[in-house]
Amino acid sequence: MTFRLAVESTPSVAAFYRPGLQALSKHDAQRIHCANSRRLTGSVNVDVALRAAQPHAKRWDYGIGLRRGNGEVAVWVEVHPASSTSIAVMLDKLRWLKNWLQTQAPALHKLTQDDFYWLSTGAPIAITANSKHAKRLASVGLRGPLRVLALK
Amino acid sequence: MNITSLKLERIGQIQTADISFGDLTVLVGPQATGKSIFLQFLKLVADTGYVHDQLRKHGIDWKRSLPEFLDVYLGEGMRELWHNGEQASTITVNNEPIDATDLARPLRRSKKALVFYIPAQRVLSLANGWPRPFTAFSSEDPFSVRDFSETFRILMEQELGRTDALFPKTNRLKKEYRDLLSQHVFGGFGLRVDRHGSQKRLVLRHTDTSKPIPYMAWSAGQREFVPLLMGLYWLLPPAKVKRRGEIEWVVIEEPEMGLHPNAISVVLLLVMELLWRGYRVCLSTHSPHVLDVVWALRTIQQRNADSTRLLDVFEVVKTEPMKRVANDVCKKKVRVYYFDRDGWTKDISNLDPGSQDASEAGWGGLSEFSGRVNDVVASVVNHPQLPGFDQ
Repeated sequence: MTFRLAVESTPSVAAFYRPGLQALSKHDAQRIHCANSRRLTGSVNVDVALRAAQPHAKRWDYGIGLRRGNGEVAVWVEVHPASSTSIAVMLDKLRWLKNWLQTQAPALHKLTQDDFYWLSTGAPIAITANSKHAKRLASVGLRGPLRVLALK
Repeated sequence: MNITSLKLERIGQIQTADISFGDLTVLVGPQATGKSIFLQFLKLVADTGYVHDQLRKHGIDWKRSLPEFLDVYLGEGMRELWHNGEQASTITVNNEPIDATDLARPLRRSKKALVFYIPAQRVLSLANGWPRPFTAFSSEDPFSVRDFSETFRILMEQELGRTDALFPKTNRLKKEYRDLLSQHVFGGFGLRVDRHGSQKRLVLRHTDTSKPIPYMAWSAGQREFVPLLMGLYWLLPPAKVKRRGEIEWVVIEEPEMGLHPNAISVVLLLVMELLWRGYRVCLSTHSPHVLDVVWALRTIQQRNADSTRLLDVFEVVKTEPMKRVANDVCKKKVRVYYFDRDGWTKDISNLDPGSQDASEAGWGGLSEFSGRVNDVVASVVNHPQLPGFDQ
């Protein structure tokens, strides 16, 4: 299944599929790189799509379709200030995303491998790789915070 | 001479090491990339007259030959570091090239040193619990080790050896430092001068009446730390004098040697004390802990934050003396340089974990491994088919 079909078969976000990185703000899209941009097939702004339905939830920002090998995978990107005080919020957001994928977005769930990324907002990154915070993130499968995400 | 920058080219493994010094300068990089060589040349260009004086005083003659002098100064066989011909080694101080042959010529001798050098091999200065004199070392040993040991010996014989209690000692270190050292390095033991027959020796004692613990029974960290502590005692004279003599620079190689991170924190707090006293400090390190502190200091500076936040890093009580130290240190200029495997240096002072430059983001390799571990763990958690979803 393609990323596009997976998004369009998920009722809560079906109308929010955009080709390439068009679902992302311009500023965010500029910080996501791929050597072959054609591999970035599409995107969805989950946060906007579910704002009305789940206004108080810790919603995730973006899903991105990435052609990898013979198929497509879903890449999940949250843009958030990168300080240790954000760790709890990021863990909540990841928990929300994984629960949403399992319960409400099975097609996107199937396309998901291990691509969960925290992209820093413009502010300085205040979490080092050897910190307990970075290890806490790794322990739940979240990578980052990154200033630029280079997708492979 | 006020040294603001030093550039070495084609010396040993160094292709070009070009360093502009801050008040605190930290050198990082893999083993055998030239950090120690660089620091020893800093000492040499600043203290040529002193080095000559010490060597001659101890009966060492290099016959005005630069290769022989390098063997004597850096240690046996180190003449091989120096290249001649078209691709000759060069030394540039404050953007002015210097004639390296001058380093071996008899110049005006000086009894005063501008740079106090605490070498990585400082543990060698203690033999059976008492510092070794300069001449107890062989010609294979670098000058920096012999000179440090000799200074340690003089300190013991002329200043400290007449008293029994070396730690805790009220007139050398602030109470805040003593309390932390007692907790994190000495574990409640005291450092004492003891007599074993007619021989003086340093021992640890839990109480004045308890049995002395000789040098060889100390923990590895304590054996490493005591020479460093004595070096700090030399630099932190009693009474109201802020600095010792003519010393302007302090070089400490691998201050973390043998120490638990809590103890490293205390050593770094003492480095802050050195900065407050007006010394310029150069460190070489393999510890991310050291760069953690530099990162915090730079962030406090960049954000113009309350300087006492620096004391939170060390979990030290915010007494007025400590606040003064923090306030002053937060005005100091800090530089960090990476010595890479190809023999070049790079300024990574920003220590930006999000930098696109891998050497800066990975702090010269010191956090690179942790980053890789984090990636592997994140990947393992997410595979196969989302087991991490349960978390």
